[in-house]
Amino acid sequence: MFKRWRSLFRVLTRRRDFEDSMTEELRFHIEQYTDELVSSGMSPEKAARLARMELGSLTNVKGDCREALGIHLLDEVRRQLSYAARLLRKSPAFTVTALLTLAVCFGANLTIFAVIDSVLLRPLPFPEPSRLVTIFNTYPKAGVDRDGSSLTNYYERRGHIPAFTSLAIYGYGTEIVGEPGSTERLQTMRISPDFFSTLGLGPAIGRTFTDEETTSETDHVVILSDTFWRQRFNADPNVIGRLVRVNSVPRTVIGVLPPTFRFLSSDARVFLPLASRPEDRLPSRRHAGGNVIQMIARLEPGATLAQAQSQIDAQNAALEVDDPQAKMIADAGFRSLVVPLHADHVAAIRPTLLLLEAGVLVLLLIGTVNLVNLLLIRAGGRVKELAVRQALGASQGYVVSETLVETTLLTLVGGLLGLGVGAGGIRLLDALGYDRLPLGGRIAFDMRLALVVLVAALVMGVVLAAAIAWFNLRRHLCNALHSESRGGTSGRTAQILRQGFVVSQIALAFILLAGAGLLGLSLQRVMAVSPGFQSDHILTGQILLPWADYPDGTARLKFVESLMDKIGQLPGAGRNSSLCPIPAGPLQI
Amino acid sequence: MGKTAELLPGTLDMLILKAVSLKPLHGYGVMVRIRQISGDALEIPQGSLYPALYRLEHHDLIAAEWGQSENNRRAKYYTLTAAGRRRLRDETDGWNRLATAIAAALNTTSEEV
Repeated sequence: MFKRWRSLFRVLTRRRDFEDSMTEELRFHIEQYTDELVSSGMSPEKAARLARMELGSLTNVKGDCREALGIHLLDEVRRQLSYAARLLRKSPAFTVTALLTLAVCFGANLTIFAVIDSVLLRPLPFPEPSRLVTIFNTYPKAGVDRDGSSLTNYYERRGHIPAFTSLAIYGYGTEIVGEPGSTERLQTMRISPDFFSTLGLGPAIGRTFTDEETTSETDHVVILSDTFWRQRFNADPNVIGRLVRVNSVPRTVIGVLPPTFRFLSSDARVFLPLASRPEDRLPSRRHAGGNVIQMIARLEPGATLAQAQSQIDAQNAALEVDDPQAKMIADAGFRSLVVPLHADHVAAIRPTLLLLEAGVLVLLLIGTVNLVNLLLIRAGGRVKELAVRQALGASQGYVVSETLVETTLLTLVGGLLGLGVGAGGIRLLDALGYDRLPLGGRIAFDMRLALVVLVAALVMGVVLAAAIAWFNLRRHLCNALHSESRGGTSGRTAQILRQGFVVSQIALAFILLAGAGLLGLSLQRVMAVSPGFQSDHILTGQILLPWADYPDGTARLKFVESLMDKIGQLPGAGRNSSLCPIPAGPLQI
Repeated sequence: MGKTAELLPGTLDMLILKAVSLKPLHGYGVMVRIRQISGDALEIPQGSLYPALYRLEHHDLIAAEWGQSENNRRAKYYTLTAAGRRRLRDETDGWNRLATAIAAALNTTSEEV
């Protein structure tokens, strides 16, 4: 099989050589035969004629030879392609309209699909990501749907839930990192020692945290992200043991993460041990989660979510028996839920994205219907030409393949333009700040997406061809020759068909319009809800003070007072400026 | 020229393989050789000779190379490949079995039934 492809490839790449050598070989044959006939006593003219007759028509023999190699099909496709291209060039208005429609439809679909792909479809960048789950406490009857997990939960569950291979906790934060004078406020993560082993991806250099490093006296260690290591240490391979100042406290570097490491949407540059005091781990602190600490776990191979859930439920029930607050906790509808990590992380954005995807699919449908309509009108104008050709012997298969080549050429070029539009759309998303979407940092235009679009374009070409071919072959030749003659009106069914397409196109457009309108309205409603205060002319900002430099309340108060003083002196700032936590803002530790 | 027989369908490939197995031949030579080794009994249709040669070459059963003919002209010579040799052996065996069986069937007399 492979050899056959190679032989075909060789012929196709040196097509002229192949044709020349075939001609020469056949000429040699005729001359040899002529010589033989002459030597047996025939006159040269008669011999030459007989030799040609015996071989048969040269065109036929050459055609048969090409067919033996299967290249006649490719020749046919090439011929039909150039015919289709000529036809499309002849009606530029139609071609431009169709290509623009396709480019917009494919581009919009590519852009939204790129988002869907990176957020919903592509697995998390860890080994066997489907085994990763997250566990959080919920108190629905107390109005708290999600309360993270507590340190107590972690220490009670670790090693006691058979369905989990390992279990870890983490919390997001921001810290001031660097030497005095060149500090930077960076995103950080505080993690338990088994965090990396749970994810299945750990430091590329050095080691991870140990259990001994989880108290506030022993936690002066740090693991760096690849980015931080490159920026601050110039990718120094001997970075282990050097010091990094975090919140003015020097910490020893013990590890560097690989460049591919990215936990969900976090952009953490520095990883610290999640340190705690023994009293934070007591049973009385079991429900003190406060959504600050999150828990992840890796399922045992073969273990199911339901098994893990029932084991967690059983343990919770056993532990609550001697809890003095048991009644209150039960009244709040307390449960610890086990859910897949990826699905949980994108749960909030999922319906929106699916809605957007539905929107662009409807757009594609409208585009397709529009295109079918345009093509039908075109086909209507060519009914007579086709009828004449069929009457002269063009086979149905030939008519179908010609339509197929034409529509596929159109949709493929449209698909290529769509790739350009889609790439632009992804750029636009970049400008709109898509990296604030969960997992949004992964959105990128790649070969896989391009391939999806081109396959979609191919499928669309076939679908369009089927519709047009059906329209072309359905009618009787005789009728066609009569009714579509100059001066005759087009067939009744053809008119009904076209009108049907126009109606469905308008209906689809209205669906999209109504959907977009409703979305806009609900957004407006959300924005119009009064937050209870006048939100205009108010500016907000966040200040983080390192503990080491501002150890007590007096020092912090002094800072705030001097800051307020300076703000009051700024031109344009109101007299009543004040510092307070922002309502409905993110909760800070 | 004696009486020539119609070529059975499917036998042309086998005869071409046999012809080039004896000695590298150009297309015209293949035709002459088949006529010769069949004792002038088989005349192959010239129109189908070249498509058959191209098909066999495409399937890697014969290989082609340009060379000099007896009268010093450029000609395309065909030789048998290893795969072609195997195919010729298989086809020869198959043909012999078929021919023996048909001969036996046709020679049956009424006493033997």
